[in-house]
Amino acid sequence: MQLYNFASIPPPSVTERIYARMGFREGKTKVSQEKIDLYERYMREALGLLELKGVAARWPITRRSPVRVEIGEAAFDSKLLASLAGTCGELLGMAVTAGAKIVEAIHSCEKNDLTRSVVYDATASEVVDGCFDWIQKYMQQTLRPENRQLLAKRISCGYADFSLSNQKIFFQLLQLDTLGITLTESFMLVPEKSASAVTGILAYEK
Amino acid sequence: MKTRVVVLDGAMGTQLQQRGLPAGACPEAWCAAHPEVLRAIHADYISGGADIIYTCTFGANREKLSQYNLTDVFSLNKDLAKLARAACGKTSLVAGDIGPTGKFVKPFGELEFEDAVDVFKAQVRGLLAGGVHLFVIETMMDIQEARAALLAVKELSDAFTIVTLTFEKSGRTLNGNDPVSALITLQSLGADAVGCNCSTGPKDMARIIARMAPYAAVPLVAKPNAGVPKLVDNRTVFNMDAATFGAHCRSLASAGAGVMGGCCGTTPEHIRALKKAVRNIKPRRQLKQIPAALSSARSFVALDRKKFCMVGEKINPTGKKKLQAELMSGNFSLVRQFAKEQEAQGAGLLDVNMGVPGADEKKLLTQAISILSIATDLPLVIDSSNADAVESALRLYPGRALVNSLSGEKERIRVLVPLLKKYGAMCVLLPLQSKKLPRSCAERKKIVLETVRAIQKGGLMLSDLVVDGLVLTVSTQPDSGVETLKTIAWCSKSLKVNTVVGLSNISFGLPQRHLLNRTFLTLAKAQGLSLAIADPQDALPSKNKFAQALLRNKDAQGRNYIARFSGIPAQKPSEAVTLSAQALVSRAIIEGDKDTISGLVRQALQNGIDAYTLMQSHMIPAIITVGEYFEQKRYFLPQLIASAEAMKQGIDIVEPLLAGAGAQRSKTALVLMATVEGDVHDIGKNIVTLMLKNHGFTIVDLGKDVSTRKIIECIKTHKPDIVGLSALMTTTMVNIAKVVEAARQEKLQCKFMIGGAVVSRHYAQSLGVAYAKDGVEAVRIARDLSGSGPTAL
Repeated sequence: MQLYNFASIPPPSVTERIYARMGFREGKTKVSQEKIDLYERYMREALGLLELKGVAARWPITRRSPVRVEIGEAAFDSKLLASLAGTCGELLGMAVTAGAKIVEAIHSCEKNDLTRSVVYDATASEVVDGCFDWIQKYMQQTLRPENRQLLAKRISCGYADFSLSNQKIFFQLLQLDTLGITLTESFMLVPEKSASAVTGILAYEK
Repeated sequence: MKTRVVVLDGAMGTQLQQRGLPAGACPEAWCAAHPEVLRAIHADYISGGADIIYTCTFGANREKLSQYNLTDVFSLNKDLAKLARAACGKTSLVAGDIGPTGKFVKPFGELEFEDAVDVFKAQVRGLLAGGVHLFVIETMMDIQEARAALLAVKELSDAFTIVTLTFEKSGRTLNGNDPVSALITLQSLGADAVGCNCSTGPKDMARIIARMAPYAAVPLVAKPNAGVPKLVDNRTVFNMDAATFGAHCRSLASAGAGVMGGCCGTTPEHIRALKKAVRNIKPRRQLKQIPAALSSARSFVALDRKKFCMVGEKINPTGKKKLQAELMSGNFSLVRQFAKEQEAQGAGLLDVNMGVPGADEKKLLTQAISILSIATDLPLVIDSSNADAVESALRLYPGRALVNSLSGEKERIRVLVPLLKKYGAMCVLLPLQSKKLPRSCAERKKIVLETVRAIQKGGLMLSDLVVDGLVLTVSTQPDSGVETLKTIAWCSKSLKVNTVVGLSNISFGLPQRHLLNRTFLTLAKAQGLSLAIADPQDALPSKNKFAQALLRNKDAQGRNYIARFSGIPAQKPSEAVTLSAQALVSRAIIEGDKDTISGLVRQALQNGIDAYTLMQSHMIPAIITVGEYFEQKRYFLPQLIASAEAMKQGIDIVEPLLAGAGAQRSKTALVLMATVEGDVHDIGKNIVTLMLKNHGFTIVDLGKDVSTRKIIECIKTHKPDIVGLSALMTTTMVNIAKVVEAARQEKLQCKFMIGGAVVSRHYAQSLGVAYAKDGVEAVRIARDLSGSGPTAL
């Protein structure tokens, strides 16, 4: 199974999403330019600490039912995924990490500068999410010559009935240890700003 | 190409699929095994009017072939090239087709740049052996991979080379490369034609070509799809018919494309329609020489003697001990941060100097270039006197860089000019020929002219140069400002070359350096200065008369300037003197002003207000107002936190005085806070803790990943009124239930309040506990549960 390694993903432009994550509402929230400058400085600092890496792999679907999708020896028990990947021949598994530095910085600011910590945290979370968009676009481009299409939607472990315990499958099949990621007993990826997701690849049609 | 539009062939993959290529097969290997199919496709395109056909070698590189367990790159490329040569006859040419490896190249991916060059060289050798007339590097979504392929071709052959990238509808490649930056980078690196293919239909592609046209010194190439692919019954369908395609291609030609063909979904019919549509169109003329422009992977700067651009100077370890220490330990966080800061402050380019004493400059410079290529969109100025370091940086840099600098010394010219030529870089020309500094404009002119002649012999153009105006400090050489301004004016107006200055040198040893720098910059810009290497904050215009007099050498020994500005006090912000100290405390909390709150609280206490009144009548109402603002969405999270932090700083001063002042302090409710076992996400819990503290609750914070057993033990020990539990993940949320259940089994008398990303009001209700969605609600819930209020202090 081929792994697509992304050793350095370009940080996506997600400033608006970072603001939205922190509760900013256009037309309602009032912030002085001085504060905007400060928060955006924090965002820049956070971006300077991110080490964005990712990995993806195509997983041919070997069996399926309305509640289960099998990919070789591994299986996902999820109605949501089974429904999403209903007409797909393959799944695309993905993972992204922002690295350890940003997490260290978030924690080191928590005691004495929680504002900065909150902005760092939101920046890292949204950038990681944006990296999945980037991987999906990349794979879409890669699949085009094969006349295959990628679904636009994706689901993450822990969302709806797609259990967080599936992180174990992602961890093994995507070899996440090579990205410096470890998996806790409660199926959390460490560094904290790491995530996995899955989407479907529509079958080849001549 | 000067007299008519050159027509390329159309889609290969679509044709192969229609003629029997099975799903999952390697197209190149299948073609080699079915030469009659390939011959027929080539013949159909030639009969459709293609002047150039592409070899069917798009994926015939080592990386792609390895996916099919194929290893003989050379033979496959040679054989497929020969097939195309046999098909092309005497009327058409064969372009050796090179596609992407499927991997990202450093600094954007894991494939080493030199490995990528080697992968492409292996393919180029096979194609050359097969007799291709020219090369086409196509469907690149990453400028760095396109560069690697182009260098591979140019290092093995002088053949005409076309490079096309694939731009999404957004106008950028997937890796964020924009068309103009890509054009600037590739044409300066030696591409003979540049353009785009795939991803879009002719209509969208015309917009991309139109953006490139004003900067193109090479023919522009367009190979669009037959419209935009649509998903119909899970099938990809290109639905633009040949006639419509041909008609759209006329607008592509008007936009500036002089070489055109078709990509996905096109057929020999589409090419026939294209040929017919453009037969009487004369291609647009390109620029006579490559323009003075710099690029990164994602942006460009066109240098202009009428439009100034600031070069951020901060990424330079000279005199910066912290940066030096970081670089020595291999840490580039400050480098990233300086890049982002300067970008935000308005820099258009970034100077990168890695001259750390005792360090390996070549290694540091290439690392910095890699990191900055990702961290910033701004084009870079490679600032080094080490030719080896410059070459490594130029080879890796995914754009067109400015090298700082080249002097008139013969050895420096001999070593650097070939590098600049090969990698298409621009360079700063320093008017120096020996160790003696030329003080007058006349001396500088002489050196510039001699050096320009020598450089032009090496193949560089005047537009590749930026002359340094050579700024020396006016504190020791009063006429230096004037001579530099004269030099800039001569370069800009007579020689018609771009200029640069290292701005801050002008003010060395003088007070109020920013003022002097800004004023000199204003004067230099008036003379046509193109670039200044400086602190971007010095870009603010200034026409200060004292500074102008000094810079124009009309202030003997700078007496007036120094008298005016020595020891000038820093400007104080105007203070609202009408507000009382306690009102200012309240305002500092509402505005989240952590810098002034402590001083203001002390001032209020010194003014005689007692601690209890300050807290009850000013500080608590202020933080309640902040909570209301947050609930109204007038404030968002960082403002809420900043206010809470300011409040906490104020409380730290006031609280010890409350008992001492004899104020009656009612019993405060105790809240035990923890993030449950298995969960290391605690930022939400920390926010709630801070908010509760500010509202007078006493907190015992157990931290994160706390076991059920420990929480129960602490409940027994501390006997809290409320236990606050948080979890971020579905797998750890169940541990909240375990704690609640354990507490009930032990018959512990405490109330629970829970929260966290995955925790819902419904879940809380199912456990029979309270739920708080954020810090503000947590305060309200805690007050309800404890029966205490914000006046509990």
